Amino acid sequence: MDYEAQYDKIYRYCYYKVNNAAVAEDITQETFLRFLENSTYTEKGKELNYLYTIARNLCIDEYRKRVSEELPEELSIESAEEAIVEGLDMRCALAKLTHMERELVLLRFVNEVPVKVICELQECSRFALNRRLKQVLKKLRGYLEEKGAGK
Amino acid sequence: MRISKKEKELLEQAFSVPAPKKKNTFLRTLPKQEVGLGTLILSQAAYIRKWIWAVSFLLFALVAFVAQMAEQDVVWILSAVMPFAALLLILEFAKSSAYGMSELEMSSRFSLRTILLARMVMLGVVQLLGLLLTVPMAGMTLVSNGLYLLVPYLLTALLGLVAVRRIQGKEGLFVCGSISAFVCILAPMLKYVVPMLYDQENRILWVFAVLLLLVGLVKEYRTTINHWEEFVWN
Repeated sequence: MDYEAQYDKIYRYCYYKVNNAAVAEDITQETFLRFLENSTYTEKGKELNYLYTIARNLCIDEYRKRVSEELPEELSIESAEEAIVEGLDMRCALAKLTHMERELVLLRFVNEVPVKVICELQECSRFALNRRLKQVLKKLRGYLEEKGAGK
Repeated sequence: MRISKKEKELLEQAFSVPAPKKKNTFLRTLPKQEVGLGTLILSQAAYIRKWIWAVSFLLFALVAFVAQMAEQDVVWILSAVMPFAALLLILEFAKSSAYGMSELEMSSRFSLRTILLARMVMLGVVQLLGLLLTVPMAGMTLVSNGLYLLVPYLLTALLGLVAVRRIQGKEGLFVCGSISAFVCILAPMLKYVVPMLYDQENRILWVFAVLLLLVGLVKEYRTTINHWEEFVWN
């Protein structure tokens, strides 16, 4: 496994879970350390699955710790002011999705996690995942078209 | 489930994150990943040029076809083809040197020595499996006819290694081509010049030749790699 490439992907995944760069990076590093501690698991060919499961659990722990805290400004859509208009539209469209849907988009289309790994992470069948992805994409494209039509 | 390139770019942009600050320091502290021998060999299959695989399979498909069609002298037809299988092996071996990439590859994570050995093992095993499959298809016994086919194969590989060590660059590859053509003619010619070589009682000579060529090959492989390393160092 290419640790360097996976570091960026896990970091991105954590960042969108905890909404804070420093915390996301700490969780990413903790994820890798725990992953390497359990060397027997890494040889079973499910490294990605294991990596994302650790990251997700650590993010959940972090989220529980500060559930009442306000979202830091890093997440706010306003921070994307400098982004180009299309990018902003996409951010707005993503903001309209549920947390679970956003996670699916991030995992499948941005981090390019294999379908099999996502199925195991989400505990669903390949068929169910494809159906969900199709719905999410349809929703996302619908929002984007709305935005486009509104201009 | 596919998205367009444009959509992917937009998504990546939308999910952009601040650059991690401690990434490099952290990654340096991680222990190096150990790769098993099997994984290393299999991983090298992808780096062997596609046309080398294609020609190897084509060669053995042709051999299988000829083995079924021809009624006699099959072993000589096959032994004429074997040098070309060995030539493919040498072409792959000499790729780094011929294209001036050996220095770079020697300093990569896995040394050139390991990589080349892994590729040679991979391609060699596949070619020998091809031989194992085609010999019985031709209705020949594996032991005796296998020996007659292994000798030109190993001889071409050995002479090819000597050639790429002595002649740098692409010229070495041309010489390898000539060597395989020479062995291709030599193998069937032996049958007519020295027919007693193929007598039952002389089979031990062929076993001896195979062993000798195998030892020579290993020795020449080590010498060639050492030579390249010294050459780069100088």
